[in-house]
Amino acid sequence: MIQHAHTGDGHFGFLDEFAKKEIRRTCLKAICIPGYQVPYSSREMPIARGFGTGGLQITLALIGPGDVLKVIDQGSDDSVNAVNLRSFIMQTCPGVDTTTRTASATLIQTRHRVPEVGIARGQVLVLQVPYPDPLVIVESNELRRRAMHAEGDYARLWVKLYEDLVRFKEITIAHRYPTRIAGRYVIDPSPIPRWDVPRLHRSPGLFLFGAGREKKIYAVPPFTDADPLSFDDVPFRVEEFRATDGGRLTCARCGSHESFLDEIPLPDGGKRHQCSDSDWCARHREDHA
Amino acid sequence: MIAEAPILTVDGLTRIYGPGCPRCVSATGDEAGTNVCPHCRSVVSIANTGFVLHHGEILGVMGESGSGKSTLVKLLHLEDKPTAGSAQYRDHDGVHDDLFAANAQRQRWLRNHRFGMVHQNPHLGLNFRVSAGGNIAERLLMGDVFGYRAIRTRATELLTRTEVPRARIDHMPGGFSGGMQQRLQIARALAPDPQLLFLDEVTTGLDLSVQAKILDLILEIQQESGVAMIAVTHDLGVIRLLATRTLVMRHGRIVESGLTDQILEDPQHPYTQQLVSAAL
Repeated sequence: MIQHAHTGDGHFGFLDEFAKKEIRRTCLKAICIPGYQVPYSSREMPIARGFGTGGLQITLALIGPGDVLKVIDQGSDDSVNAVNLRSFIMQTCPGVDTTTRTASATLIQTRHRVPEVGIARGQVLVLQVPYPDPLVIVESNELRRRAMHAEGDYARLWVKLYEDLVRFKEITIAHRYPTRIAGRYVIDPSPIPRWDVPRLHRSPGLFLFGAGREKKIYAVPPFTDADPLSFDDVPFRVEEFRATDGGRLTCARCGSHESFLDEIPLPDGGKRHQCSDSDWCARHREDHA
Repeated sequence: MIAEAPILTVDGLTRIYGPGCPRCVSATGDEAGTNVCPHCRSVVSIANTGFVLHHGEILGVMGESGSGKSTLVKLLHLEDKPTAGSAQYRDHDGVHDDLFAANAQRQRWLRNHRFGMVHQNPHLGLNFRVSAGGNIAERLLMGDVFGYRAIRTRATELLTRTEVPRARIDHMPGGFSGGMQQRLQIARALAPDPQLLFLDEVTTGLDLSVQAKILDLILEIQQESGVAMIAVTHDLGVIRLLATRTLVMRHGRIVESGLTDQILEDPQHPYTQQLVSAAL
């Protein structure tokens, strides 16, 4: 996957080779210490920090000719962030093919979703991360947070869950659900919905998380335990998508009742639901055509 | 009767704030009448302090502000590192640690599973952003209790034990009275069934009837669970009521130690004499 290549105008993959080398090495370290946030010297990119520079740098450091790239934003290949990042990578990485089909991609860069089918052996999913540290909600001082990670001190995160159960009879974290990796470090799995968290658990593919503004990279290696924090007697739950009559909502376009649904308001004040993962929706329509 | 190994053996405990110099310890202390080193201006907060604490015992530590008594508790509760000295911890479950030689993770384990701390100011000991139950839950979660129902049951138990109305389990501690905050702090400290409890001026600033109740509670707990305690205070009444043995500290040194009755009835050191006569 990783190859050096020079093109007539500009350097392949935009980043210089030293930067790529550093990012690859950071990724290797992150894979070796599952869930640990490895610091790195996030480079200036031609997009603003907070718009996916972390994910973009990982993608550019790993991609090579022969790779097949898919870029998604909130599950869709056609969202603004996905389109812009894809066209930037296309301009700077000649010889790389793109696809919208999850199954055909070798490298997938994503924001806020994991593909509905999960990722397969050999695939790499690169997530764009705004806030890498799950402890930020309970401790504002980074030095203290690092000590807490080092000592495995996550009691205050659990207290947050406890307080939710007391107040709302329900854990109210909808996305960025703190997840313990390999029984050790707790990560912020980026703003993916709860629905996607079980897909991290013992996945055959590799998850890489890049936070450009916060200058951190972390990883969930293949076949690694990923356990969302929960109590022994209050199991972790994902979104249910129940209609008012109690039945499971279905996608208005493909009819799937197994996918994560987006709610779309209609001009008449009503709403409809459709798959958030556009590739899943298209495949489902093909299969049932 | 075979003498049992003490739960805590402290030896040569020294904490110097500042650059420190070879003459710091010899140039300060009771005889020098100061704890500031005249050569390097370092503060010798506590020096060459040693004592033992037996299982189930309450040891009183008495002294004026600046005498080093809070530093002593801070060091033993592993919130700060000593300049020199050692402390051996040994309990009935076979846990045996050289406290200051243990790494940070081990120290945290000891703090979470074996020690409890009750501060003078509830703001130091409680998290005011979470409910009373949440405060107890935090300690239980640190002690690896991960069942929601188990936590609720234990929290209710502890609140009942410390006479905080059970109905207030989900209320914020900010809305509690001072005495209730202090009782909640004690409940929180007791959550993981600690072996060693540090009480730092627990009754200071409370009105007299509330003080008496808190002291009763502490004595009851000590008699029921046999937890060893170190009670730091400048209040002779507290020492008289709680402690069987007492250390008197001044300028970072222990100037007198012995049975509480003996110290209060027949003080030897001029400072203790002055302290006792001032109180009576």
